[in-house]
Formats: sequence, C-alpha cells, structure tokens
Amino acid sequence: MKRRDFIKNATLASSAMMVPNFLRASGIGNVYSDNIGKKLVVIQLSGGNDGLNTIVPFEDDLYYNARPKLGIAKNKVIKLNNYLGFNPSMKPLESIFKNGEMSVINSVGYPNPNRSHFRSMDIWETGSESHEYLNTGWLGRFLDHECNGCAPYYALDVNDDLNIALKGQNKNGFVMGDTRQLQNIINNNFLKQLTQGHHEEHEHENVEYLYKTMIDTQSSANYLFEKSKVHQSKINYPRNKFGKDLKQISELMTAKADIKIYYASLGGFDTHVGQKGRQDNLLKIYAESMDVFIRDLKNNKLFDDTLIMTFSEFGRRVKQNASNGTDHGTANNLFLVGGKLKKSGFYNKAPNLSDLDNGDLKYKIDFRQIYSEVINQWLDGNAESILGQKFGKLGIV
Amino acid sequence: MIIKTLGQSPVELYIGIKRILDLEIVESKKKILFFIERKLGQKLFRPPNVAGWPGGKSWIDNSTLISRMNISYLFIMAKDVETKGLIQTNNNKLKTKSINLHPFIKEFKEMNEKEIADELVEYFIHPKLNINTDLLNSGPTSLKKEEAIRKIVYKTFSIPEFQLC
Repeated sequence: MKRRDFIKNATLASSAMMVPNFLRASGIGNVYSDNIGKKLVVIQLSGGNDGLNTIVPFEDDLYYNARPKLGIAKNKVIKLNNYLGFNPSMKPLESIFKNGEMSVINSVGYPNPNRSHFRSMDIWETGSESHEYLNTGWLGRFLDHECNGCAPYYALDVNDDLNIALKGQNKNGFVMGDTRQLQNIINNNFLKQLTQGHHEEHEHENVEYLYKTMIDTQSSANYLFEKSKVHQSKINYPRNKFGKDLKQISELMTAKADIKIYYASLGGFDTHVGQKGRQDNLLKIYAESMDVFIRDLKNNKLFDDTLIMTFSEFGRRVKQNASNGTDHGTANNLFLVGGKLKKSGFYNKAPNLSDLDNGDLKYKIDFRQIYSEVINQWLDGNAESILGQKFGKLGIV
Repeated sequence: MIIKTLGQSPVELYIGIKRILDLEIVESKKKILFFIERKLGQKLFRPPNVAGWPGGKSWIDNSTLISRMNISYLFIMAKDVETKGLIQTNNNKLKTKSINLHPFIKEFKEMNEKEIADELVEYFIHPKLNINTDLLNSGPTSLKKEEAIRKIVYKTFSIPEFQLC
C-alpha cells in the first residue's frame, strides 16, 4: 500500500475526521517525506549524574582520596583504556564502546556554572549563556528555523510534558507519553465534533491557534497510533519506563515515522545521600535499555542513521560528602552513540583532578559546541542562527 | 471591541473556574498542584527564569491544551477521578469533592438544555461566532436535569474559546 493511501485509510478509519481546507494548506493531510534520513535521539539524565563514578579515572589517586567510600575500586572498573573505565553497571555498553560506536566527551560544561538543577537544566535545554534567559529551546529553535511544512510530530518528546528544549517561538515538539493513552484521550466525540464543526476565523488569530493545535494533536495521535502498531520489537526491553520509552522510539523508527528528533529522559540522579546503590541502579537501567535499543536498531538497519546523545545538567563535586553521596558540581561527561561516528572512544583527556575550581571540575568543552556539531553535521541545520554564535567543529559527527 | 489574548496562565485558568463554580477543593491539594505544574506547565514560584513566564502562546502545546480543556471535567463531572486516560499521566488520582451546582441549577430551572447552552456561551465565550451550541447539549436525554447541566457546563468550559476568557 502506498503511504498516501495508508494515511487516507487511517484517517477514514478513525471516524473520518474532517480537516478544514485551511489546515490542509498548513500541512495537515499532506504526505510528508517518506524517508526522514538521519535521526537524533536525545537522552537527558535528570538530577545531575555523577560523571566521575560513571567514567572512572582508576589510576588517579586524587580520585580515591576525594572519595574514600564512594570511589569504585580499580579491580571493579571496566577498563576502556589504561586510565579510564566504566562503572560496572555500564557493562552492557562495553562492546559498543570497544566497537567504536560510542564517543565519550569529558569535561563538558559552560562558563560560570550554576548549581541549581532548574537553572542548569534551563541553560542546557535552552542552550543559553549562564547569565542569559531564553524562552525557547535549542531544538525548538531548530524547528523554527529549519522546519517548513514539517509534521507536527517531527520532534517527539516521549515524556508526559513538553521539555523546553523542544519549544520554539512558533513551532513546538509533540508530547506523547504513550500512544494508546493519547489515542484514548483524543478519541472523544465531543473533541471530534468541535474540530469538525469549526470554521476558520481569520480575525481571531488566537482561536485559530488553539484549533490548529487541537487538530494537529488529533491527526498526530492517530498517525502515531497507527505507526506504533506497524512493527513490534522482537527483542525484550527492560521492564521499566525508560526501557519502554526506548522501545516506543525504536518501533516508530522501524515503522519509518516522519520523526527526526526524539527526546527521552531518565531521572533520579540527584544522589546527595547513599549514592552507591542508587546511581549503580540507574546506570544499569540506562545501559541495559541502551544495549537493547542499539541491538534493535542494528537489526532493523537503522543504527547508521541514528545519533544518540546522552547528557546531564551537571556533574557532581569531586569530593564525596558526609552522607556517602555527592553534591551538585559542574562539568560532566557526555556520550554520543551511533553507527557512523567519525571519531569514537575518548574524545579528550580525563578531567584533571589537581586543577579544580573551588573543588569542582573545570569545563573544557562548551556543551553548545556539541549542539552545534549535531545541528550542522547531523541535522543539516544552521547552528549559528540557532545558537546565536559560531562554534568550531569537533569532528565526531 | 475586546481583544482576546492567550494570556491566561494555568493558575489564572484554575482560579477562574474555581470562582465561577464557587468550588471547594477538599482533597489532594497536592494533586491539583501537580496537575497545574506538570500537566498545565506552570511551576508555581518557579518561573523558568527571572523574566517570569513568557505567557501567551507559550502556554499551549499539544499536551497542555488538552489538559486545559479537561481541567473543568475534573471538577464538574468527577467525584473520584482517575486521571489516567483523561490526561497523559500514570497512576494519578485526583479526588475532588462533588461539586455543588445547585445555585446553577436553580438559575436554569425554567430553561431547556438548548437555552442553557446558549446562555452559558453568551456569558462565558468570546468570540462566539462559531460556536454551535447544539454540540453542548447533545448528550442522552435520559439524564437527570442536574447531570445534564453538569455536562453542558463542562463542555462549555472545554471549548478552546474558553481558554481566551
């Protein structure tokens, strides 16, 4: 069946939702490109993941001195080179790292770091300076700049609420925690009647904006629901929210949904107290789900066209605290995973623990330089106009 | 001419409905806060930055719009609402006291459903050029008067145009 027919049928099947003419012009009912090409998956580890216990400098005495209880013993670390290794919970990703499908960038941050979760997340999500306040996210601005006639779900947030990273001035990402749930909400006769009975009113721009958002939501919910049924993953994902999110992403990708950007997150990394078990557990969830996700993508020949970026709003202080945890810090490591990385392994040296800024790591790479790389090299966008300044190439993507 | 904007923040929307209906929320204040903060997108006392909330269109995305349209359902229709399926969230129950709509019902006792719908739209919805008030009273006729009125009120408050009031 041709895609055009599929969409037609899908629309008819969902009780013939009629799309007013003016909305056809703005994209609904259009058939979007069949081949979305390269895809980006952003994974946000919320709460501030402790980078030093994720990528462990197992030859550094300063590390063990600063963390008498929390330091991960050298013989437990999964050694990746003669100086750095994974937290044992990251074991599932070892072969991916060794296959050259993962790039670890150390000491990523920004000048004048902010230790508030909310503010630092805001800085990362909007891509602002430390002293600057933006109302739009870096990917939202990508949609504003680069997306003419894109589907409303071109950037999909698989959480329950829309991350500011995907909010633009005129365009937004689409939120869908669960396809079936969204479908249930939308399949409401009253909502259908409202949109079907609506006639365009040019003089009431705001009313039109609301109706357009509603109609977009209805058509997108139907589209995503249909797409999510096309393909069922053959591999078992871990039975947790994060695993389920990655499964949903993989199934939509496999069904060739017109989605360029996926945004997922895993929370709970704010380990002030009793860090050991908690962080290990979260990293295990992360690594196991990622491992399955990557295998799934490979099986479906999608891995070469996928770039997965994992970040956290900040790392943690070098010294452990009195509660066997760590407090909010600054620079952190960031992972890029994909089948077509130009440079893999460790991009740069481990953080220098003898050169700290008041007990915190100094940043060496601005996170926006990585955004710039992703936008220019992967999404074929213009990073300078989206980020407001020019950053040099890293040569990874 | 009244120029309508999308300026109504989630808190204003909530307070507005609460006032109109003379609503008393007796349980789960936290859940309502959760609803406003997460589902409608306004973290109280925690604006995104010192500039405050940008307001206007930025309140609206596909998720918050549906939640805004459903907020009145929570208060008007539900005694013990399981939000699952109604809004995009898991395992969150929002309990509200059954709303006493007697003042409303008294007001509308002499009217039929069509007249009630017209009256509510006349009062609460601007601009109203497009509203087909038949949509608001198309429920099953076997409903008791009070239930029918509840339904009309809920539907009126769910219309996108209500967001602009």
